[in-house]
Amino acid sequence: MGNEIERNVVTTTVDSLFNWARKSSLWPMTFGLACCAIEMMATGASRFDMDRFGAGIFRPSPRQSDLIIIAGTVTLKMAEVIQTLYDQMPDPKWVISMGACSSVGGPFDTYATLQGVDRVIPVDVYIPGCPPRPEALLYGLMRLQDKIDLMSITQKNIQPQAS
Amino acid sequence: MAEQTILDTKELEINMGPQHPSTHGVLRVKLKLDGERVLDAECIIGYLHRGIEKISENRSYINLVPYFDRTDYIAAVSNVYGYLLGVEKMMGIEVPDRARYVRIMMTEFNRIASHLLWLATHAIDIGAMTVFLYCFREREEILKLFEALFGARLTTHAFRVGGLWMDLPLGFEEAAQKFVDEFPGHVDEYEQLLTNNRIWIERTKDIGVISGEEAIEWGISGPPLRGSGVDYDLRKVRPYGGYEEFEFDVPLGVNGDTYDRYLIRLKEMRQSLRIIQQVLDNLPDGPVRGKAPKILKPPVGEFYSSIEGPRGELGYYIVSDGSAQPFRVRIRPPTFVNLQALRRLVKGHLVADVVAIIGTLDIVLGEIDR
Amino acid sequence: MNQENGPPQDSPPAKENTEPEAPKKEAASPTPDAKQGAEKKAVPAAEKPKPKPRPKKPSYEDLEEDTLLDSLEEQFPQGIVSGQVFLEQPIYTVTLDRLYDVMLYLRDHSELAFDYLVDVTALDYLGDEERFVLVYQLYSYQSSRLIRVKARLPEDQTAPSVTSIWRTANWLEREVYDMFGIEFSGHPKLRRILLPDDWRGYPLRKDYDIKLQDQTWIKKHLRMRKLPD
Repeated sequence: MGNEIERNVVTTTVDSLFNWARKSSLWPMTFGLACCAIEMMATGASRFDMDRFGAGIFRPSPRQSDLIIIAGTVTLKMAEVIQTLYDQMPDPKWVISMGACSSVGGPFDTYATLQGVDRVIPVDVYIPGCPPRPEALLYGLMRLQDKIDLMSITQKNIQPQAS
Repeated sequence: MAEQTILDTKELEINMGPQHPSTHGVLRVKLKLDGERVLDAECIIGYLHRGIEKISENRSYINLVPYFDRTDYIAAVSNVYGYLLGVEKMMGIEVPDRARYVRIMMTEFNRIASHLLWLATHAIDIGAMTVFLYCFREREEILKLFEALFGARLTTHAFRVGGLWMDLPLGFEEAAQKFVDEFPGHVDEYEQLLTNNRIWIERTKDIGVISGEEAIEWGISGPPLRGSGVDYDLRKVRPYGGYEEFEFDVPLGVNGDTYDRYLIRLKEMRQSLRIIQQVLDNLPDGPVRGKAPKILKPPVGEFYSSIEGPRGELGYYIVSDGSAQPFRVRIRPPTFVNLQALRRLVKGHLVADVVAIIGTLDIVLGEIDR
Repeated sequence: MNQENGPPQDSPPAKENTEPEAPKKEAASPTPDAKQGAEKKAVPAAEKPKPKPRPKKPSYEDLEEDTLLDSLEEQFPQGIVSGQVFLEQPIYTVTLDRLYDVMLYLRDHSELAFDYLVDVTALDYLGDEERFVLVYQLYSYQSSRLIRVKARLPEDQTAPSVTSIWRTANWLEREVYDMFGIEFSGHPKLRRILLPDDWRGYPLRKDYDIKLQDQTWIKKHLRMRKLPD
């Protein structure tokens, strides 16, 4: 019993430290596909500064980033590429699906569009809008930070999301 | 031409993949390199092909406007102007004066916003990060105006068949005037940062040179064509929507290189301000919507209407079969045709120049792939 | 549904303007005229101006007194099917076998050198014997003229490529091949441009359903996840 309490107390503090570090320095990858990319760039600019959340550094390479913001319509031709990029990202990694097109296909229900990027990669946060305002993207980022707070390093599967 | 040295130099083929910070979207360029020099570049597009032309056979004429917004998403307001002009011409709908003037004003605002985004991304690709933040700061001012009038920042469903949806809100003209007064100072700021900057000149002078005749042969239009000295601006050649009532100049380049195209776009921003000032001075009163039927059914026929978008000649070829849905709408994207010339422009340059040339062509993949 | 009395279509105005009033040269004083126009629209019942003749709806009309059509018919006696005009935009329809020669002639014409190929596209009239129509928009910088050239072709017929005449046609013809399946002989490298290379089907044909996705391609290239219900 004493062991358990000791173990629990120590783990929680380390958990919150790790989670705080992870959520305050989410480095996204530059992955703008279509119109939502322009709003993502506007979020990174000075009016809706995304850097104050620690997420301002957009890494060009997937191997150096832990967040991918799928901003824009995902076509079938591009879905192949997204799979490769997602596989190249190191754990822990998160996915924000920004906009209607990447969440459910958006207004483009056609032969060439993937109806939602969650058909090929698991998504953590969905942000609706066409395009979502920069404030909406920041809110989605904050919700992702709340989700990261629920993580724990003692769990084997550190991704707190549905398979 | 590979010499046998200790390091066996051969041709290297690398991929500037669809995910790249400098390709302005999902463009894939397969480069064949000899060391750092580019021998050949092959563009692979289609990563954003959403089938908008197929969609346009299944929707009514007015329902298509949001789809066409999303082709060239950076200049969404001026994008649809050509399409609506075509539909109005086919139906014989008259647009009141006030609506015409406001449309021209918003189109020119959009031209400025589009050029600001071009400058921001072009500069940050070459390495000037400050310009990115400055340009986005000005762009936010314009987007505030768009939001006040149209309700959305980026993909605005700006105009309606016959004019505008609603009249200008209170205080709009003062806000627009304030922007027009302050903006020349900002353009001077960018010029101060870039125009005589040694690094900028090294990176852009004599890069991507194309002569006027070759540009015509490749079918290039817009600022890349005017950069090579050809005087072709659709607002002057085939004036549409009332442009003949305004005075403005069309800046031309001399050498046809990246530096000239940069100077032209800055001058175009100033000329757009001139047009906006003229509109604000002479804005007539009146209704903003002409009479248009609820269900648009143009007669059987076809029409090609083209406008001078910020990127070049944007054309809409509308074929109607008399029903409420078009038979075919073909979007003639300026950047699709301009991007073909990339192969010709990058031969012999270094890899870093490829980025500068893609930036100077000002491509938007949404328009290329539709 | 009544349509608004648009500008009379039979008298060809000089500019492509939808306004009935003469375009104002100076932007100095448009206000008084516009106000009058607005008043006219706001109060139609009180002072009804005499009704303008109902303009006839635009329709295809035959080209009359067109020097280009005359010279084309002279050069290619069996090649020119018709010359029409719709809303002041001339349309020349030619036969497929003389298409390449007509294009070369148009580009090398002495006064109207059509040196700018604006667009190449196609239309699909499913059910007709000559199913496809190739549409070329041409512009001449010298004489500032924009014309349209059309040619009908049946399915499975290859069309001549104009890439050797205008370099712009390269990607434009690839797109027509991608979307319609029309092959161009003489094209340097005809392959798909917008869809993946091994996609089957030609989307812009009228018998291709808009939501039809090539399942073979998807199975080969993508790993689709099972979504929770």
